[in-house]
Amino acid sequence: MSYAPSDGPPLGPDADDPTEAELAALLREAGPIAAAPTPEHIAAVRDRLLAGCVDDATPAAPTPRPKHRVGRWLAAVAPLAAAAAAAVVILLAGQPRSVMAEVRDAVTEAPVILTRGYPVPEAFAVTSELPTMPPMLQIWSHRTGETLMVNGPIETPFMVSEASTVSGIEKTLMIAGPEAKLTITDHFGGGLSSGLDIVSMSDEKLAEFGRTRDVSISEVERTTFDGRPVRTFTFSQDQTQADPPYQSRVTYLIDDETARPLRALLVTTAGDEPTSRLLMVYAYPDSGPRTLADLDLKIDLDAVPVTDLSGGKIGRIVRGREAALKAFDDYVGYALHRPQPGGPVVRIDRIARDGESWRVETSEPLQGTAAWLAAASPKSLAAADWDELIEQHGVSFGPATAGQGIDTQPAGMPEQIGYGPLAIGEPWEADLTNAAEPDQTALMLTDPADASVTQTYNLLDGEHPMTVLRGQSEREGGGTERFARLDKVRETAATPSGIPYPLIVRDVDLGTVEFVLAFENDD
Amino acid sequence: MPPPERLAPPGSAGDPDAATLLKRRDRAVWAAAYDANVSATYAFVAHLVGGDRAAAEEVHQEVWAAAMAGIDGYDPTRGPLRAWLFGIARNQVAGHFRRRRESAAASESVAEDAPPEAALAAAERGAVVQAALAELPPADREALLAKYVDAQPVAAIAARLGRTAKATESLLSRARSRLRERLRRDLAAELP
Repeated sequence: MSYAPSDGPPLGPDADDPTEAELAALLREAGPIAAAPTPEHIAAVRDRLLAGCVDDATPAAPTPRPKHRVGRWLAAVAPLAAAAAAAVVILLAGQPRSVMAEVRDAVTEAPVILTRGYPVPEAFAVTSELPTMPPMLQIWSHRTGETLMVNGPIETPFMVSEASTVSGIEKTLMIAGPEAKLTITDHFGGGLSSGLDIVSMSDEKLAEFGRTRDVSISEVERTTFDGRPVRTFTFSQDQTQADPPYQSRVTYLIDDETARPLRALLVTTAGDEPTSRLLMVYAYPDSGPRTLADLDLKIDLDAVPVTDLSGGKIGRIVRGREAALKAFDDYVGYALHRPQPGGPVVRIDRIARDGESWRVETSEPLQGTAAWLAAASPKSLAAADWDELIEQHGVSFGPATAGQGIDTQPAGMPEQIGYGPLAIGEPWEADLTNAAEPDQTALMLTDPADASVTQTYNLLDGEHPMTVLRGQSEREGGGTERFARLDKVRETAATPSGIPYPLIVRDVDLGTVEFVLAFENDD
Repeated sequence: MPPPERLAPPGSAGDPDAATLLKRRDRAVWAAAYDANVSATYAFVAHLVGGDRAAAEEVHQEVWAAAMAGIDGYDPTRGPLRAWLFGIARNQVAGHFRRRRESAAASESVAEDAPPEAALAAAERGAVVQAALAELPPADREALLAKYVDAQPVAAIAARLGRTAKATESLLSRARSRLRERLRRDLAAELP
């Protein structure tokens, strides 16, 4: 019997492969996510199950269990976790309005919150001041780890995420509208966060979070920080089901006077050693931008429909995009990711295309500036040389994603840079009379997979149509949401059949991506 | 020992070699099967019992006990182990509610939370979706729920996850692919 319930959202023509709209309906139909099983329950059922088994059905094969030292570590922290859990029960049950409620109110009432992340091991000792910038430059920049959260009603009916180039500095600016004000959602799908979402929960949500996610919460100590009385709260979560098991712990430093978090330190530990540390520093300016005008953000793109697609820039762009979306020469190769231009390669993707089939594998994070990576350059080494180098240095790859179809793959493959998983929709020409960068051409493309997107504009470079200078999306419902992005192709090459593709891309999120490709029909 | 993924292959049939070892009560293979399926089976059961943790734990324990007891009846040519386990889970949940109704009848009270069989069957697709979600990385799960259940805009999800909007769009794309892959496997599976 095939599983084909009569109720609920219908599946598409291929019932095994729901579309995005069907996926959304399935998720809504499924309702709130169920609580995860407790580690104790998992272990108890496992023990009972395996008690009925024998060891000699196969040659001695080790049962996958945590490494001894991890197990010992878990055994050591278990009483602490239990004590912490008890502490939070007392903390929350014993006080109708817990001290966390005070923190929550203080956070949610702050009109503007500036955050900055430091991926450094100095713990709370980071004392550098947050940059004081005029509102115009209060930006969210992935590069520097800064975030501006305008935490209050914005006097604009829409949300904006804008990336642009100003004096050579790529920046992303993001404004959260009323709906995005530190929302406290009813589900806790994720793990711990170094953001402010945990301490922003109500008492009830916090208690439920602790119970359903097996998170222990404890008030650790009262101390001083920068001469101010503070208290620390630590949230701990054991990820015993992960392989290998690890523990996440985020400690908030709460200002006793204002009840606002000053710092949050997220530490992930696997075995005996911390594997990552992230320090978030918070600041609460008295005022911030309240309108788009405060940010001097111009909505300068007006689309004008065009009917002649054969000539001029529009014609070149349409032909270039059509060529790349219909066919791309088969290749195997690597994508080298450098967060900072000229900096170390931190990740390598191994990518391959065979007709419409494609596959991406990704390496484990590469630590530090490996000398062989620093010395190697895509321009100086062919793909075969990279094969040898990568094998020589023992870089291992794990599957990331694979699929079929040139226009359905995720971004990141060279033929997708700038194209995105979009079919060519109705082309429009932009009226950029009042734009800051008038020498651009716009195509209006629609994303058939997302019905909520009413229109998407992509400002393209007429000479290199794979380059999206800026993308802008508008959605219906609850106002207009606009996104913008910036990819800049620094160097290009062509496949053996003449399809242009980027060699080096400056990406506003990812830093620099360099492609080293070997085409099967290369001469 | 076969790797866990061999016990829950994406295709329509199970692994006959692994099934043989399961029927021999091989400890390592059962451990691998349990580790590979525990999140999904628990989420499946928890959804069907309405999120009642005590009931979910009780029934989930019964599911694995029944699986061990009934493994000789598992035919890998009829479907993957996951579908077989879901079938057991469905029966155990139905039994749970049946016992609850009988208990209520004996005490002349009303078991208001015991759904009829038809309602239970209708809830199964949600249970399969929950099981698929349970296997996703936390960030994937959070992003999908924020977007499709809470209808949050990407920018808000990005702020919540501490990512850029574009990185969040990429995350959502990957999460959709992973969820589709699991739903393709589990929704199309032959459920007893």
